[in-house]
Amino acid sequence: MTRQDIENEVRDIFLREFEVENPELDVNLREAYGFDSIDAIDLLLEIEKFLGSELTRDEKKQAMDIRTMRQIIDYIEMLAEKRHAAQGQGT
Amino acid sequence: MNSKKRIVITGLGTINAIGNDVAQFAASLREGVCGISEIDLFDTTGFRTHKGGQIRNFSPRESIPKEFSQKRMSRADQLAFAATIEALTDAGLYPLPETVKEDMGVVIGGGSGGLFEAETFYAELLTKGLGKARFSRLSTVYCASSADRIASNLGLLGPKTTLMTACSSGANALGYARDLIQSGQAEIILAGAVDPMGRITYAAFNALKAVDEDVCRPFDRNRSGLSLGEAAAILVLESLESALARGATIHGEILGYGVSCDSFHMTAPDEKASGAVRSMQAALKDSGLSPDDIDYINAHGTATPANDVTETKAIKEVFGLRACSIPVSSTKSMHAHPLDAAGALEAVVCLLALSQGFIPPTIHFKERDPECDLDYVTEGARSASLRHVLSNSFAFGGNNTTVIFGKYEGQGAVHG
Repeated sequence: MTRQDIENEVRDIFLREFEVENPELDVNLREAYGFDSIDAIDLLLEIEKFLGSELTRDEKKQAMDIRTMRQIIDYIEMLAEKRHAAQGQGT
Repeated sequence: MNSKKRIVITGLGTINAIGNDVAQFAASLREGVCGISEIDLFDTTGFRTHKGGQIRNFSPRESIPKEFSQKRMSRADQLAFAATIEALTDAGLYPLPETVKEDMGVVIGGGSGGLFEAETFYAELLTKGLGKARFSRLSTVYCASSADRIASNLGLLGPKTTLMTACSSGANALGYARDLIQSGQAEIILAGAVDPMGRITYAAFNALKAVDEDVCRPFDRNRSGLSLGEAAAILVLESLESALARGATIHGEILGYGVSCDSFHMTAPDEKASGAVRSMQAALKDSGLSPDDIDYINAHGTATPANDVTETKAIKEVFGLRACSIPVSSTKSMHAHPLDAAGALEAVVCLLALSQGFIPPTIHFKERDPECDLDYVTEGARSASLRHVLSNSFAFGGNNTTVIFGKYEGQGAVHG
């Protein structure tokens, strides 16, 4: 999974779930697009679906500081790498 | 006559089982179209009945202008807002001018809110677990959601209220909206109701055995219950002065309304029909009209054995010997019973009847009931020049409301 794959997926989620078309990478999502706390909960469910695994309580806590698209992509990239590494250890 | 401000209707909007807009609805009412058939909004396996008056071919994206977000709108909110846009457009108020927003409000009858979406949430919770259930589905579960959404989308700053009196909610919304304008608290009000179908409501009416397995047959000897429906109906109410100043087309006037309660039973009407009688008499008194002035009655006419005989008894008591010569129809035979939205939807029926000069029929009627012996317009729609029409909404719990509408005949022409 490349960073571009992640960005494409997040853009799809934003269009499908939050009616935001092509959000800018570094703007505050709440201020620019009215992205609120209920949206944030929906986004975490979408991320779980995308990764194919549940988020831990600590991972969900980490998401609370996210404010921009770039931070979402960073966050998913971090989660994906963590899961990939865990898989590697398991094999 | 009522000496207060005259209140007129300048905009109509609806989505229901026989019309996705007012023009289609009017044509269906004239043609006696039945909107009751097998439903597919949800799985009815295991239910005693499988039919209802479901809205078909509703596309929120086509009905709601792109400038309005649909994020987290329930089906109820979408239906209500789509009907609102149609009503505003009809009234010449869309796009809504900034100058009217401060004195404009919204009154909605409705109790289901986002119940349909809440059902989906609960199904997710049971099948996938709490962590996978989408909590945002619950954000519109409260019944005031549609009024909130209409007001916030349009930027309204006047009164905003949601009323829930079961199947008379829509009628009460119109009456209360009229009062708000007459008392000077608003100049224009979007008044109406919304009620979408849902599994819980469908299950409840099945459990009560209050639904016909086929199609409802109001006033028929073999009637065995109602057909559940769904609808949104929104009307633009304003003072006559406001409508004239704007040069708006006037569909008719609200001449009066009356409210009573039975204090009798959770679902059955008072057998003596006294609640229904008092509701109609209160509306007549409020309007300043006499029983002789009423040209058509849009009955509550649910097709339950109890309602139709009680309503017939009440009409006879209020109208005396003249009762048998007043056309009475139940349009629920066509659009089914949209519960909280019925009173508002049937207000649209009455205003179309007044402005277009016809009496809509009661369809599915086959055999006369000796206890239901009025003129139920069973042979099809009639052409008729109507001046005053009366609409009944008699809800579970004994919540009775009657609204009387009049044809608009000019600024100097006064009813009653």
